[in-house]
Amino acid sequence: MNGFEVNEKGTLPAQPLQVTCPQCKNTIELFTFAQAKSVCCQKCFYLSEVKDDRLVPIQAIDKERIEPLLPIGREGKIKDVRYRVVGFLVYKEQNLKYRWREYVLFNPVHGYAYLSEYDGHWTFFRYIFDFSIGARRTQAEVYYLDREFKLYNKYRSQVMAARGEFFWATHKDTSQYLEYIAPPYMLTLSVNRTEQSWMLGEHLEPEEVKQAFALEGAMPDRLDVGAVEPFSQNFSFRYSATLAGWAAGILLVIQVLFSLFHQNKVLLDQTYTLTEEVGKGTLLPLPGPTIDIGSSFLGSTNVQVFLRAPVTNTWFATGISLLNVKTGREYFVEVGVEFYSGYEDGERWSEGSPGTDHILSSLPSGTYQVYLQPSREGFAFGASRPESFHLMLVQDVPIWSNFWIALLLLAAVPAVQGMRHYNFEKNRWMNSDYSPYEQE
Amino acid sequence: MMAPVGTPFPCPSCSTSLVFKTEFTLSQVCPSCRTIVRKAGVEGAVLQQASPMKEVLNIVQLGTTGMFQGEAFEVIGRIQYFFSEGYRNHWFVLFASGKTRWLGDWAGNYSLFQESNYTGLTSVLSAAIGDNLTLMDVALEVEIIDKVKSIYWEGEVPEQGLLEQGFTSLELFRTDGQMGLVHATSYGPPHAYLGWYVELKDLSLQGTRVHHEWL
Repeated sequence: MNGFEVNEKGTLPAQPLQVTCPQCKNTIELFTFAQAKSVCCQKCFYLSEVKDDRLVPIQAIDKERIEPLLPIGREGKIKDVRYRVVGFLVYKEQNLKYRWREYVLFNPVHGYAYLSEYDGHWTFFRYIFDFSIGARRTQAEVYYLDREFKLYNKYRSQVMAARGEFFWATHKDTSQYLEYIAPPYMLTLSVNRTEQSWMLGEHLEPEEVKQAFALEGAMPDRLDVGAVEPFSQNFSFRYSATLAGWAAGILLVIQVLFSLFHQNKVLLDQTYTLTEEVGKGTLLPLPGPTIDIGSSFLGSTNVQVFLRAPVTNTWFATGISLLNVKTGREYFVEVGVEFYSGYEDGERWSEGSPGTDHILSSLPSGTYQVYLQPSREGFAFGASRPESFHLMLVQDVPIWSNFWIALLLLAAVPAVQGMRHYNFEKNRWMNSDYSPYEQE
Repeated sequence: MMAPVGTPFPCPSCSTSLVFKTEFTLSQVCPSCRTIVRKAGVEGAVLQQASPMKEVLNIVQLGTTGMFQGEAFEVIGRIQYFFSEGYRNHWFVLFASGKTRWLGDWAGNYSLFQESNYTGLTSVLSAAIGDNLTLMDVALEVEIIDKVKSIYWEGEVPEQGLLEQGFTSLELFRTDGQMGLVHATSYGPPHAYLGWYVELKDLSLQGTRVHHEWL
């Protein structure tokens, strides 16, 4: 009987199988027993193949002397499943320099899984059997879990270092890999002449890995953006845009409702004739009517002033005083219009407008005496000075400026998140040959 | 000597009490001395011993019972295949109704399957990864192509699966959970199985090897 045979019937083996490295005679612990196909000694880094219950030396795998962050044999829990680290590999993409590290995880009931780490970014992979694209492997997009996965990378890899045990012959692996991403997920196809397998990867925060395997010390620093690193766990662009969209919708509804409840009551709608003071060239003040300003459903109200005067290459202005006859408090505003036009180089031009409006806010209700103090240009060559003007006062008008300001402020949040998201995604695709972004 | 189904009889080597539980098997391995005991034994024939099973950290064992879709079953045998890469446990299960099935158990995957027929027109040996093969009019995709390197067995199992060392083994799947297996050689019809992947919890297994810390 040898160690690869069943010794304990009613329970799983409590201890790993101990075998001897054929190269350096170091004792190697095999956690997966007869499932192991190749084993790399942690002392001499020599890879051996398991054949007929013996280790047959193959080759040294020591192009890189790097120790695994997750020690071989360490146990940890990911996605509520307890795994043991049984293997570690350092990979390099063929014809390129960059490396990444993979940990082979094993659970006797649930099988194998992998933790991959590249530039400090961690992805947890499990096999899936409910997805396939058949023998066609040219798609740029695939669909799974109601998500669109985009082709991110195609490559063949080379093992630069290994530790522990593997259920495949790592030295003979000629698989091609295809990676499709829909952050935080990745679909990976491994295919060669004799096998294909799909795995679903999911982004893990370094802290999750550290806690899962009770690691001490700092985790590798994260560089750039990971292939499936989510933009924001808590405040994604889509979330902020949705939130802002809903808020804008509610704001619009409130504004429309407020508009419906506004009175738009005309207090004054009159045309006035201008009279010049004899010998002085100034205009005489004009007494206006007495108006009653009520209150709105919000309490105080507003009054919109509309002024229109027939100005041509000149200006006109009037001061409007509203004197509360009871309190004696005066509210004053000056409004003016100007309009200029002419011909220059055969083209007609114009500037200004003969009409304008202005809003007086938060006016208390009451009776007001209106006084007008008009003024106009003394003399202007080629100008047509107004001899009259039209004034309209409307109480309790809906104010849209506040709505637009609020909308602008609401839009700022998703706009900023949108820009950050764009830059984030562009960085994510920097390491891909299939980037949809133009890279510098 | 004939050993009728259900009738206990002594192992010809160590006298351990044995019984054949189903008519679908012709031999079994004595759990005590690993002697291969045939249903129709020949007086004076040299007794052979089965090689010990390999430890692959399976939780299922002989005598494990379970319930699937309301039907109770018992594990009465196992064929253990080792390939160039990988392995498979085919547990032979006997349902209370008397029907038999195979419980597939490898690398955390569990399946229930039964004998099937390859109904395609081309040779399975010419299939490539990603190709479709048809078993009983069910088209499945080729996932793995490998070679059977060694076979071990225990309990009582049908004979055919024990004779396939050196055969080409194909593992097939569909995205709806159906699975298939084909063992083929250049002579004779391929030996096929068709079934479904199942969740471990759906088997309601009892009498497994102690493994609660790994659930």
